[in-house]
Amino acid sequence: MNDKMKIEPKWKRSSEEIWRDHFEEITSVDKVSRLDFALIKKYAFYYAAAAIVVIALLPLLFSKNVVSLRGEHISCTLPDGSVVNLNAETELTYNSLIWFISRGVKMNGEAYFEVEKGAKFTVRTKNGDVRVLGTKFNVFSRGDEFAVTCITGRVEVKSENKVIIEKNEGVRMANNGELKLISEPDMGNTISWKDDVFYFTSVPLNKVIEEVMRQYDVDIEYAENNNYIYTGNFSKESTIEEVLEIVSLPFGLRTEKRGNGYKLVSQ
Amino acid sequence: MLKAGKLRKEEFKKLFDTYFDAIRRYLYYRCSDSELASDVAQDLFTRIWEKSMQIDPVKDKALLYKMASDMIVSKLRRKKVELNYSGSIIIEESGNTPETNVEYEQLKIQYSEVLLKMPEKVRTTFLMSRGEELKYAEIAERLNVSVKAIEKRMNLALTLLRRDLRRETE
Repeated sequence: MNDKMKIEPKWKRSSEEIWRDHFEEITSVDKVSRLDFALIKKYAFYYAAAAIVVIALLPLLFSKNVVSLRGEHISCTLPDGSVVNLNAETELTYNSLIWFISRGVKMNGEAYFEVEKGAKFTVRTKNGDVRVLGTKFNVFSRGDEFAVTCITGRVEVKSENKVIIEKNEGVRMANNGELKLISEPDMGNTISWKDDVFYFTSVPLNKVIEEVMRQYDVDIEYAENNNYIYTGNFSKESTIEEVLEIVSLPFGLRTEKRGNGYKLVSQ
Repeated sequence: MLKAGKLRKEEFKKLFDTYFDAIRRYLYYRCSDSELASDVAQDLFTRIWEKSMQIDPVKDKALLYKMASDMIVSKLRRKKVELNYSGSIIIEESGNTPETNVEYEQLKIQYSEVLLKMPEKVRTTFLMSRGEELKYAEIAERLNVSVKAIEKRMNLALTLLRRDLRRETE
């Protein structure tokens, strides 16, 4: 009777299946990789050093820089689809590597942002920071001048103090560094530069001349020791001579051509 | 390099095909747990490949069984296993098969109990002989003992079986 009895283990997987599922893979990895591993150990220090350098440089590789020169407007799309229009002589920097962790750009100059809805979006300037969630707004930061205009949505502007502005409001940094709310009937004028139209309301003449120099990429000599205040507008469709005439006429100034540039002199 | 790698793989595949199931069975005889036996066998062959051990399928079979034995011993030290072979016993059809399933199951339990009474080495030897139909000389080679020792173990196993199974069935 006991001759007929046998032990037959019940395997979950046959040896063929075990070969196919496990050994086929490990035996396909060539022995070369094991040798390399020994080399890696030997030169571990150098590999580590190289890795640290690469990791340190990595953010630089992903750092994007957009610069518009004088007389130039640039439109640029950020990784999330937000659009930035750079006015002349503006620099914008952002990092596409950490973009999806923190949306943010550094900016110097003037730019109009149309930010896609999403996480906090920050514009850093040397005069202050602007924080939004998803709106359209204009940031001006040149020299000590800092102004932010909100076209839609809400914008938080932070410098020495913090101001939250809404649609058709703006802030400007006063001489003492404090942010002051400004409200103009038509905030659209502050972003009309996108369409090559420049509006000025009670702006010192030297600031207007600076803007003309930026937009037309010309040098203009001008005695700054006055306190002329200009209100008016010009369009880039006009020639530089026409613009200078429009701007200088109310103050009794005359335009003279000087080499590649111009000089404004009293009549 | 590539060619050597391919050759090595072929040799390893041959070793695997020849011994994987035998080792797995041997481990099962030791622990009566088919999952554990499979895992340990897989670990053993993985180790052989990874350490690039040169194992001759003819000369080094005792080494293979020794390594398997050491591995299962260290596994069993950590994990307490209740031995029970009744689940894997099969009874081949013959003239005097038991009439009912109940009797059939009872017989399996009895057989398993006899197996548990055997000393480990006796049981392993007996099952290698019975389950895989290996010759005594072959078993002796694999377990690295003399044929005489195998004969002794088999005698003891058969004596135990005869005594216990006869008494129970009668």
